[in-house]
Amino acid sequence: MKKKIGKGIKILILDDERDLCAFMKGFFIKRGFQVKTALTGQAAINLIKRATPNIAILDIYLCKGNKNGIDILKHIKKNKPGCHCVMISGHKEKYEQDSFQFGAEDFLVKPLTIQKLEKSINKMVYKIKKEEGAHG
Amino acid sequence: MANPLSNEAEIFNKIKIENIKVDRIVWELINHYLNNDLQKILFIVGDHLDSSEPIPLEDAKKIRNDCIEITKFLKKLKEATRKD
Repeated sequence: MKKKIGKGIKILILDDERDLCAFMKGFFIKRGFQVKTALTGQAAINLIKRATPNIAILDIYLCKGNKNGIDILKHIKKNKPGCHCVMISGHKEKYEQDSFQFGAEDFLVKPLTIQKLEKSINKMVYKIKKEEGAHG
Repeated sequence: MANPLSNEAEIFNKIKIENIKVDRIVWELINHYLNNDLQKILFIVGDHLDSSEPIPLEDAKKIRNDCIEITKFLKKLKEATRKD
């Protein structure tokens, strides 16, 4: 039985690899998170309009659509600044600096283990709970 | 991990001395295909190891499929980049 660390926390996952999206969704649902997935940048924007995620996991390089993960990061930070963004990419040298410049909280290099991703998300959960505590 | 080649040090030395570089466009392909397939395998295996559960048949099939895709990609890349 997994510890439900994510109870009450919404995650948006953007990845154009359907299998990866489905896997991450199942993994975080088991830990109590509410999870929405998007295969394209536009789908992510549509989901963000309807509900504000607390955490966004954004794959940067997307083969589908005309927006990449950095575009979605910018969109989130402009429209939902309270959302914590974790970026994922195989191109550290190309995207890491931009990610932090546009407000990402973490940058993970592909391929990574699920434990590394979980650790990063747990850090975001800790931050969210701390912020909630600070706001009463 | 595969056994190290007996002349591995020699090969790396040749790469260094002759300044052999792989074009960025080739790395783009490698990053995209290998990273995504390895990512799927790492996620599946890591999750089951973490929970000390055996890997279900469905997940084993996914891993085999990802390995086949990696092999196909390497074959395609080899054909596209070989000199002779």
